[in-house]
Amino acid sequence: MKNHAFKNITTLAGWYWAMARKPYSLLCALFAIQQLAMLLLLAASKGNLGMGYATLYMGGMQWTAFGFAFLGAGVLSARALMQASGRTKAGYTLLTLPMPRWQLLCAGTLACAVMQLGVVALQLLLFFAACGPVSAVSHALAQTLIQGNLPAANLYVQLVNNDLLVLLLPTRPTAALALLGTLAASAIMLPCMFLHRGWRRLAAAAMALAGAACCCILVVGERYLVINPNTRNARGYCMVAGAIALVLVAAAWLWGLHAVKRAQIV
Amino acid sequence: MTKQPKQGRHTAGLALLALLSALIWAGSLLYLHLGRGTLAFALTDVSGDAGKLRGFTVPMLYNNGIAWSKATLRDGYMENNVVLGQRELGVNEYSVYWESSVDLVVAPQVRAEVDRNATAVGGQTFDGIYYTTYASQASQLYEMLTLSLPDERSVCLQIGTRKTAEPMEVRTDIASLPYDAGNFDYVAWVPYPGVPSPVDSVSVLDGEYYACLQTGGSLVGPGVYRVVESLTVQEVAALPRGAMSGDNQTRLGTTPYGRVELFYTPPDAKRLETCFAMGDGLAVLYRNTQDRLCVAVVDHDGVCTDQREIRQYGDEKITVSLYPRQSVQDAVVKISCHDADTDKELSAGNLAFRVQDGTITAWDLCSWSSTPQYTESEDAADIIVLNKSGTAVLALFCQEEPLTLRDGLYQMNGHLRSSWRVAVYPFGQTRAAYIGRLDTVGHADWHDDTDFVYQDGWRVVGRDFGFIAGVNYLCFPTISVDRGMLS
Repeated sequence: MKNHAFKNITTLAGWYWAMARKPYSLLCALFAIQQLAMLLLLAASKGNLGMGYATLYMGGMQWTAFGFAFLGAGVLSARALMQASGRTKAGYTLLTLPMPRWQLLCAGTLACAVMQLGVVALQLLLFFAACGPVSAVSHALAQTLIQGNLPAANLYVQLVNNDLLVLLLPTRPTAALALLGTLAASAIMLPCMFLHRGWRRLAAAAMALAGAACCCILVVGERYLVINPNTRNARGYCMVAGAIALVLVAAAWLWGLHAVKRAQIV
Repeated sequence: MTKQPKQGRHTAGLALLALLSALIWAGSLLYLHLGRGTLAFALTDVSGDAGKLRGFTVPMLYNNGIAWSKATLRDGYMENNVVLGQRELGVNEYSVYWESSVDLVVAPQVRAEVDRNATAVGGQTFDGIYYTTYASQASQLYEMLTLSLPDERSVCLQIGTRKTAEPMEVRTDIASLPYDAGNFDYVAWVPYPGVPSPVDSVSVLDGEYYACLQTGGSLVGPGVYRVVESLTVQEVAALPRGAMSGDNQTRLGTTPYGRVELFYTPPDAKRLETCFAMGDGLAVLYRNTQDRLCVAVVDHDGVCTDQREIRQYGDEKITVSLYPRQSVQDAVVKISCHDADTDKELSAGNLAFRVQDGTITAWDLCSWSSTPQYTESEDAADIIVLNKSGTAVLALFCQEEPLTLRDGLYQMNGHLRSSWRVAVYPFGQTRAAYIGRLDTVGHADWHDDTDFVYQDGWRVVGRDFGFIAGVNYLCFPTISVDRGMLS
């Protein structure tokens, strides 16, 4: 029975993937191109002379770009659910699938988690791949303006100085927990949002937004607590944010399940 | 057209994406952990006998984002330990906050008259409360020293009286709300930087605070004073308000609170330069009546157990600063000599000494550091330590290479912090017996000290711009607060 459930979930998740892969690939390509273009452009600018790769990355709004790509991947993973709205073939397919309703949600979560993880992996790959060319452009510009021996770029030094990447590559168990919690929360709440229609979807979106805020507090707060362990109230804020996130995720899941059971999607 | 869920092909696609992503993530994480060796320090011998490094221990710290390179040069070997994601530990903890200020407060005998003659001259809002500023004139003033201690308690004492030929302008700020008007009295308005404070340092010995008063005032002489009693902020606010400022009750600013007692003062002292914890007691650097700079070692009963003369000075101004310390037994101080009028640095030198059982057991005036070039900051050592046997010192110098920026007609000189020079000087010698080169990875650290600043590759801008110690700069852990050093 368990195997059956696993097969159902993976098959359905595969279908979600099939529905989303084209726009997802486009999103990834756009993200990669803008990042490369932005970093090369910044590296070639005189105003940024002497800035390292990690500084250029943070200065070029790539934090934000990554955030949008991550969110976009989550939304696209629910493309099948979006198309299932109304009296559509996809909607009919979904609602007549011979499987328990909760498996529908699990499949959405799985597809969303994998696609978001894909964006994380893409960002890591891009960072490693672009370090050489971007540093070379910076270095070439510096060589034309500065007389003297300039130090060569060091990939590892740039990695440990990149504030986003060090969040994506946790070095402490608590940081790993906060990151996995964020990934799980977004993978659960984003697909659940598209199980509702009309004002309900708006309410679910508001819940997801609140959940995202809580996750941000957790991820940033965990790091802050390591640096400033004696800060009054900081631990309390993190605990409250974590508790609220848990409640929101549970509520979104149960509400989503309720919507599927009552076929509100159509 | 929408596709129907089909088992197999699509699932495999998703599985492949998951697998690849997980592999990339895990690989990156592995690189982050295994690549730590990249940040290891390396020491290369340049000249001399590397055996001279035996007996020296120099802990160092270099920060690169989330990575902390904690290296120790021990007996000539580099022990590297790079940790990720930890907070800064044991660095610059000595720079705990203490503060002292001197206010010229209107003497009680003329206070009523000063208050009668006061007129409103302006006001300002602070924390939502409006304060009206009243100004008046006074020529009889008390010099009140307030010392805020690291435990957030404070002590206030009168160090002198001042009678000026010309009346000085005195001011007070009266809050619009009566309950908040307790902490102000008429104080002489002295433009920035205000009245200089005689307190040079605050040291800790057996959990008690010792303040070093360099000069004192007409009522209190120079000396090391032990804080016997201090008050919290709340206790100060609750002190009785025995005076009136206009219609408001005010605490009389000339009433001292807390208590200090003289712990030690050298009998022939003209001026105390500094004081810090040393061995089981304190070391007091002072200038005597013959303008000789001396060191007195004092035990915890305030008895001088040893004393040495450093050198003779003229009427130059002397500033003394401590290098980071590894033990409370050892201290290396930089003694700079400035022109009394222009404040230009005339000469600089170092003194290294060790105290054991109240006696100075190692003593070196670091003659190599008394050369004229040494006064130029580029050449000054960043840390100097004594060896175990107390026969030599090791100094670390930051090496800077010149850079020139040319952009059209615009030209500017800068420099690159490239590496560190390690030099061992046996006591009494001017030439180094060993010279080495220390490389720290991540020194892509270029900046200029003047108008424009090259960003260093990450986030810091030059050492002259108030950077946070420890970020991309080599740090030297020093003994912490409870071991006695706050100055």
